[in-house]
Order: sequence, then C-alpha cells, then structure tokens
Amino acid sequence: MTENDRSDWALPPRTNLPYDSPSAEELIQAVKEYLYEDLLPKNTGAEKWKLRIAVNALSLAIRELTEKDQDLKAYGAIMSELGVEDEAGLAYKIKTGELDNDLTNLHEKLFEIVKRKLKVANPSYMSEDSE
Amino acid sequence: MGSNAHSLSKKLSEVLERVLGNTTITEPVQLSGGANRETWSFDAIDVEEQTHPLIIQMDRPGMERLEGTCAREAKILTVAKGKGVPVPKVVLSGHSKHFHGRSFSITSRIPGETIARKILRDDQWELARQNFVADSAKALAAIHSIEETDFHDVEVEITHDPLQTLELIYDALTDPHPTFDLAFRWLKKNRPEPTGFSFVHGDYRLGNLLFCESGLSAVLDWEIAHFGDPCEDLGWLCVRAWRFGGFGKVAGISGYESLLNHYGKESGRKIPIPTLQWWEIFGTLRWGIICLQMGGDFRVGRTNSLEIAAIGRRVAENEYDLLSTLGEQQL
Repeated sequence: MTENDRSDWALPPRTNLPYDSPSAEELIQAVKEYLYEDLLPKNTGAEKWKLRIAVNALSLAIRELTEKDQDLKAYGAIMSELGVEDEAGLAYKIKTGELDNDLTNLHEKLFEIVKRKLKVANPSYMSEDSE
Repeated sequence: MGSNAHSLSKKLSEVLERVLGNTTITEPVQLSGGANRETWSFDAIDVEEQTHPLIIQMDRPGMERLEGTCAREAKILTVAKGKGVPVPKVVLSGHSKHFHGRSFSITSRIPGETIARKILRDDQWELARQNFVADSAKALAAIHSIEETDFHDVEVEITHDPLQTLELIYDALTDPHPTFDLAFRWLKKNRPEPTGFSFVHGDYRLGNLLFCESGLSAVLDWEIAHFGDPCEDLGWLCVRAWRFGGFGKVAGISGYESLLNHYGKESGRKIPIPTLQWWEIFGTLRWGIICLQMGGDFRVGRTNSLEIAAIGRRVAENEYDLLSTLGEQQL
C-alpha cells in the first residue's frame, strides 16, 4: 500500500443517528466481551457466578433493544383484539369472568405475548422444553 | 454492599467468643447462591487448636421485608434436628451490631455439594441421584411430622389458604400479569382435597439441599417454613425452575409416581397425581410471583443486587410454564 492509497478507509454509514458510532447495542456487546473473555477466566466461585449473571444480563439487554419495537407493536395489537387498553384491563376481565367464553383464544393470545417476552429474557428456555 | 472478608473475620472472632472462647478465624470465603442472604464459609480455631468448620448466613442489607429470618431459622433447625431431619448444627444466632443489626446464624459446615447442575450432571453424584427420591421422601416425612407444640420460642406462620395468601401478595404488587390471573382462576376452580396439615419446609428443592456422594446429608434454607398442606413441599419440588434443565418432573431426577410411592410409604399419606400437579402449578405461580416481587425490590431501589435484578426477568419463564401446563388441562 502506497502512502496515498486510502481507498479502503471508507466507513460504513452510522446506524444510530444523531449519535456517533458505536451504538448502544455495540457498546453493550463490547462490555459483554470484556467481561466474558477477559474477566470471567480470571475469577472463581461467587465472583465467577456473578460475572456469568452479568454477561447474561447484557445479552438480554441487546435482545431487548433489537426486539422491542416489533414486540411492543404485537403487544398493542393483541390488547386491542381482546378489547382492552392494557394488561390491567385484561387482568380485570379474567378475574371477573368476562372472558370465560373465550378462554381458548385468550390462552393463545397470552401465549404469543409470553413467548415474545421469553425470546428476549431467556430464548433457550423454550428450546430446552422437554415436556 | 456486601461485607468484606477481612473486617468480617474480626467480627466473627468477637461474636464467637461467648460460645467458643478465643478463636483465630481463617479468611472467610463468600459462597455463591442465595439471593436473600449472604453466605460465608470459614474455620474458627480455638485455644486448644481444634478447628471448627463453620458457615455464617446474614440477611442482605436493604431487604427489610425479610428481616429476622436467619435467627428465626436457627430455632427451626434445632427443632428439625430433634425430629431426625438431616440439618446442620446451630452454633450461634441472633442479631448483632457487628452485622449492622442484621440477623445472622452460624452453623456447622457439613462437607458436600449443593450446586444443582453438578448434582444433576456429574458422575460423582450418580449414587446421590439414585437415592434422591428415597432420601427426600424420608426427610419430607420427618419434616411433616413436626407439630405446632414442638415450637416454644418461635412463632411459625400457619397458612390455611395458600392460594388466597399468594393472591394478596400479587394484588398488593399492583403489577398485573394476566397469565397469573388465568392461573389463579384455574387453581380456584380445581382445588384438590387437602392431603393433611403439617409443618412445611416451603423451599425444599435442589440448591437448598446438601449432598454427600451417597445421598442427602442436610436440608438447608428454612426461611419460609410454615404450617400448611404437606403436599405444598412435594409440588414445589416438581416446579420446572427446580429441575435445572434435568428431565424428570421431580427435581429433574425422577417421575411423579416414584416420589408419591416413596413418600406414601414413609408418611402414610396417599397422594393422587392430579393433587401433586395442582400443587406444582401452584408452585409455578408462586415462583413467578416471587420473581415479580424480587424484580420489584430492584425496581424501587430496595436492593441494587444484580442477581435480584436478573430474577425479575425470570417472570416470563413461569408464565410460559403456566400457559404450557394449563393448555394441557381443561381451562
């Protein structure tokens, strides 16, 4: 490479305008790799256990940032299909028996919300489901 | 913040003086596990050069909801030991200014393993796994033989209607999770006959049990022991969270029938499978609400513990288990 050849210096576009790169997700990922690759192998016992929890928490945070928009949209759609504003309204309807004739549908809708939550919180939980 | 090991040694030597005399304390090592309390392992060497392997547990700072539990638990351990339940020996317990007035208990340290994933997977624990159901049936029958009159200086809560008690907690949190409401509705509609009334450990599961290679050597963590239906302990042992990825319904180790047969022989109580399943569903709901409550402790700033924060996100696991199980039942 000659001194004047700068042909491969072009940066990819920023993904998190109006901010600079790296994005929140990328920063969390970098911290996670630091904990996992640098700190975890140097620790034992209770500290190692806490570091694992920390690494898992950061993985969860990244999934949340990635999935939140579409999960919130699905959540809102299900609430309106069930004719309620929010979970408080839905809980009230279940308690008072208003949905007793629609339990199969209710079960299906709740399952969709919960699967989306779990896919963010702990995705391997569903694949490990051995029942 | 937790305690630091060096200042802890000094405090331990001072509090232990009245039971062991002058002692030298080895550097305490913090043990993993236990979201509500701190646990440290250490040795106290007395003037006759005898080594006492010990464990200290302290309630976590900021968790006022749980205050007094370590000291109370020590009294329960003493009663359980008298009834033949395998438990550690209590050396000292109470509240101390040394631990910021938090309640603590110091017990003998029995060698062995508590970590569920090791017990479930490592070859070393093969025999302990084989004996698990028989050992547990025996320990549970002994726990369930403890009577109200066995307690003199400690108040033990009586739970006549655990479902109602749980719903009061859930309602008080005012953080609605409709899956939980659906589960309450199902549990109320399908209540089984009581299987009896007895002392209940309340948290009998892997993680709270100590094993030697041949099997169960001690039942730990009695902080939520109470009087109620003995089947509550059996159902709790079947909750998916306490299978730690293992395949059997009972603690990831065995099936329902094996537990019920062994327990029937030891206790004389014949429990039908649907009754056990009702208590398992109750247990799943209970663990879900505990996760919600612990996440809430972090949310309101009662604790800054990362472990407790992470438990808040485990609510969804229980919702998933409840919906999976209820899907197989008549809704």
